[in-house]
Amino acid sequence: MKLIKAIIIDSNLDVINQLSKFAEENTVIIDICGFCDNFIDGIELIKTHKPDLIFLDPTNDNLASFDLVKELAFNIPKFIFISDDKNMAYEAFQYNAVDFLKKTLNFNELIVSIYKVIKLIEMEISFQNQKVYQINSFVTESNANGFIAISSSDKIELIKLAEIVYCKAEGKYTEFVLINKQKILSSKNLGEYSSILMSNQFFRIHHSYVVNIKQILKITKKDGLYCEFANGISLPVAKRRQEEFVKFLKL
Amino acid sequence: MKIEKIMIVDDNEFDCYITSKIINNLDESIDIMEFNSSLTAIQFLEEFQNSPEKLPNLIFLDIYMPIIDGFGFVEKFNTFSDVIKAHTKIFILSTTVDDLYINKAKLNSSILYSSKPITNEFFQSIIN
Repeated sequence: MKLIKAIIIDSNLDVINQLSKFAEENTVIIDICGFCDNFIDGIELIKTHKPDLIFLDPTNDNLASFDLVKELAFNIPKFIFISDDKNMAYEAFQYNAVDFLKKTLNFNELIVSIYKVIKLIEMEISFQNQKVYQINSFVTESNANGFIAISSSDKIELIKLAEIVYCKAEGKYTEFVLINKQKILSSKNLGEYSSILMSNQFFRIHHSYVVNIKQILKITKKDGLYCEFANGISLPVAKRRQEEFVKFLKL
Repeated sequence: MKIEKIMIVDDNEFDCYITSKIINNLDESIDIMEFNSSLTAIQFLEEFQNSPEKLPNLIFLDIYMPIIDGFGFVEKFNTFSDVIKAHTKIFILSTTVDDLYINKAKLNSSILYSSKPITNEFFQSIIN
């Protein structure tokens, strides 16, 4: 079952307590990883925790800063607006919130809202997978110099495999670091990319790193092996992968 | 109708969980039997078809499931004893809005249909 990571942005203690109580009773579907009372602090929490869902009190101040979410480098979380003012339901539509809940919270309404959020996320993931599958099968067919399609919820980027220096596992995300120092965050974990990468001169040197062999400038030995890359980056090769790594490079 | 036991048959664990939570939030005294496999659920019903004390009063049944889908489940159920048919009522729950499936569900007048997730109103209407 998918666990929804959520953050609360609300200055009302009752709301925070009710949501926390709800989360305690439903630990298999929701985990509240933080709360704060304004959107500016909220953005920092969002950057830290990369949540799937935000419970937001749509105050004028909070809505004034709402556009900050567009600058996030990863999936924009879903929103559920919570307010005691019914008119705010209009704002919820304007801001594309998944649902609007009126205080005081009712657990069955809340669970149905979370149901909507989960179904929406599932739909987006399956749509993305379908697109990525189409693109990757097209790429394989035409054998077009090794491209890879990287998806986040709002876009799919096509990048040349040869331009990737390495990929880093960031929990359920993967960070692609390119030659031009650009970093692209994908909403899939590193494992999802392993088959396409491994058949293209990439090697998993570490639990968290898959590197492009062609981008390695030198391999140094000091308390283990390190791969050095053009832009001064040095990454460790895990002890238990060293032997396989040396074989792979035919050293 | 006094409801003591409800069986939920849904291969999607999350949907199963949500349905169960909604029911217990409305009436915590109801005993809920969750089955993620339609096959296991039908085997359970077959085994206890003549033991009403073990049987649910209601079954909330999903349509799209592997091995035996909702309709296969109903067909199998219809071959069971009169005891279970008198005791247990089936409701088909689905996220689908496919007309064909709704009609197919309505063809058999003893089967009722609702969309997921279930609502307070739907649940109240069953009890009354």
